[in-house]
Amino acid sequence: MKARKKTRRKSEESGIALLLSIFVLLLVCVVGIAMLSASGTESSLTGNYRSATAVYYAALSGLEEGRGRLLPRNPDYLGTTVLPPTLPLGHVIYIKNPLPGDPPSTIDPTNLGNPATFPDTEYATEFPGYSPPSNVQIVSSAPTITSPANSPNPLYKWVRINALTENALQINVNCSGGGGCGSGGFNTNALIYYDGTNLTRTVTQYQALEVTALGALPDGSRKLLQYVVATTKLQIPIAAALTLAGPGTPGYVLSFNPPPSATSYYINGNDQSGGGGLACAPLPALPGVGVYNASDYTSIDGTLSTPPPRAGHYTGAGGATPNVSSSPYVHPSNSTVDMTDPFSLTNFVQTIQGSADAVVAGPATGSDMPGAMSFSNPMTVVVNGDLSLSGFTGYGLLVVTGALTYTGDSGWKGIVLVIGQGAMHEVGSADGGEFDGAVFVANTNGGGGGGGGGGGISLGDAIYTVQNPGGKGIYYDSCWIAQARRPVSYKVLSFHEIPYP
Amino acid sequence: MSKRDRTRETGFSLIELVMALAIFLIVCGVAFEMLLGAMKRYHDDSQLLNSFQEARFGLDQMVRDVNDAGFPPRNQFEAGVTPAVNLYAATAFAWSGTSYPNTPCTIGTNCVTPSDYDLIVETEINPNGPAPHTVQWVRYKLIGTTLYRGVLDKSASPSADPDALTSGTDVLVPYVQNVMNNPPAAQLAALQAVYPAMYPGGNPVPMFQYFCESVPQPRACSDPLASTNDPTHVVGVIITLIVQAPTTEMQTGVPRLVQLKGQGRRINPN
Repeated sequence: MKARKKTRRKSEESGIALLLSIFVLLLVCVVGIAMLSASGTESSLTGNYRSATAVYYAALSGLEEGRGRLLPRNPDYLGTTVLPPTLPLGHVIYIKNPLPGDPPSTIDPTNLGNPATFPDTEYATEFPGYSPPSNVQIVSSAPTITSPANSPNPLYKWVRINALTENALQINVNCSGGGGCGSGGFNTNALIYYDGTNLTRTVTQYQALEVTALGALPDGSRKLLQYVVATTKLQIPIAAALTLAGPGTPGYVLSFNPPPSATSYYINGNDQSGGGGLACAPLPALPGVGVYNASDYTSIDGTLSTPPPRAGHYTGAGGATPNVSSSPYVHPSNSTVDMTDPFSLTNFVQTIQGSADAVVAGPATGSDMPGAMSFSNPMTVVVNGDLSLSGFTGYGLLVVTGALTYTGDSGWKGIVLVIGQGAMHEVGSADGGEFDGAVFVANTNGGGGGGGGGGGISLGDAIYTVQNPGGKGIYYDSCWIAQARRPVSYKVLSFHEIPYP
Repeated sequence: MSKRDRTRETGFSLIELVMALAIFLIVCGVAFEMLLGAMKRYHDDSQLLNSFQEARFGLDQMVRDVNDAGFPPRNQFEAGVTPAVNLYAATAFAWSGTSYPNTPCTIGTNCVTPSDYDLIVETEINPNGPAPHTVQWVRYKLIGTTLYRGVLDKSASPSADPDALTSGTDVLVPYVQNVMNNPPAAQLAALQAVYPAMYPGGNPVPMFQYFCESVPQPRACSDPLASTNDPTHVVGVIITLIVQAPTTEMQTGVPRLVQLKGQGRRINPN
């Protein structure tokens, strides 16, 4: 009986407390939910921005992988089996990039019926007569891109590489069809090429390609970006076997000290075309020595003529000896580099460096040159600083921004650009080495005053000194020059974003 | 103890009830005060977020336009043909005056646009749309505290002035409100007092900062060391938006600002 009373009193006392507790709890919940809701909006806003930026760069990384793997000198080059020299219409290459741990089947751009596998709906729009493609090559994303430790996998799904038509481009490239350049009626069957400056429907050695990449984030963000690219070779205007660039202004006249009594040293502007070990059709002769102005001409021609060390050793176009031209250089229309402008030359060195096989910090020697460089594998080497060569022969394109010093038993087959300090010195008593191709020396560190390019800088005086016996000298060789001008990159000709459904 | 006494013990006295009621009211009052405060804050924050979301969308669009600037370039047509000038982008960023598109102005010196608060992007907004495909001028211009955006089909006339043609109110429409990059002087001083880091030196904050091709890497076009400083050499644009929320901070009454930054990179060649 007593126990029953106790229980009853207890339950009556706890009634109001329970109600109060529940009520307060409810209030706290409401406040909490309101706060959560506010911060949730903020999170989603931040997240949206992050997604938009991240997916853009994800797709861009895909474009860059696709562009990089087109170039033969790159380690993950697609190879000629996947990428034939001319890519026909209907031949499509996909680079697939599934997330780590995901099977490749999670991405299938050719399965247009399954949105979950990131279908390439754009292809059918661009190539109505070639959809589905007759030849689909599928490769995996390069392991050098996806496997570095602690680096996140780029979040693009696929990259498509294919030939280009007017219809894909939605541009009437040659303005044909009667309606003018702005008319529709885009050609769907003719391949598009690149002539070095513009797209063209005329067949050239450079095919224009389309690179398309889909970026996709786990939150559903998608972005489709597209490049039009074409391979380019370095256009290096060669005006003489040896070009010494300078302003010719007082105090900045070129300095060229030839070997005084050498019997084996020559500078020859007649195309050797085979004499250097490579055979090709000979081109017209160039001046043996080229300078840019009358002052330098007077100085150099005088040096080679009086006293006459061996004026006949300096031969070239026109036959006169010593063969020196005061105006050998004409800025060609197919070259973006102006070999008279220090700013343009400095930019040019940067361009070469961006596509070089090896960039070496100076001071450097022959042992710092890439070991894989050989007669059959010429390379592009940039030395940032001084380079000293002793008993060394290199192949390809050499750029030295400091002083190039070499012994007479050294040489180079290809193009040598000494741009920067603009100083080249032959030293010692060794003999037998020769330069086959062309040599260009320019001092872009300034000082010539007047004219010049950007930044108010003008060319300074270039220096070339040769001791006795001096080696065999410099021989213009168009074969080796052509060999040194290898494809340097796939240039981006246009870029734009495409809506992805 | 009798049964009656025991029953009386189970009830509440008046004092107990009054005390309980008082405590209940105090608790409720505090709770409601918190709730109302939270709701007001939520409302204010929603407004703030709406403003910022609007600004963020605006910024994203500007970045996207800069990224796509210059499409399609002239190189998409053969060298030997003469397409109308409105079929391709002569430059990624148009400039003012009749010298366009032949002689570029100098940024920071005689360019009305591009400038700190004014940018005209030349691009084809919908390259996958139906033909004919023409290029548009997309202009962003800050007037007072309103950022305007205007889109106009590029003129087919080679000597047309993009600045003059896109200046009209029929082209420019309000795009983002309460942009405080360059407010009136008094307002700038007040904002700078609250957000000194946002307005270094108490100066207005340029909405567009341009980076030009230079050696060995791009530099701010305004940098004396930059090798180039004209619109044709702009390779990147940093966009800064300072946006003020419609309402002030609830407790302190200070204006609420947020700074948004984005960067666009021009990829298309001239």
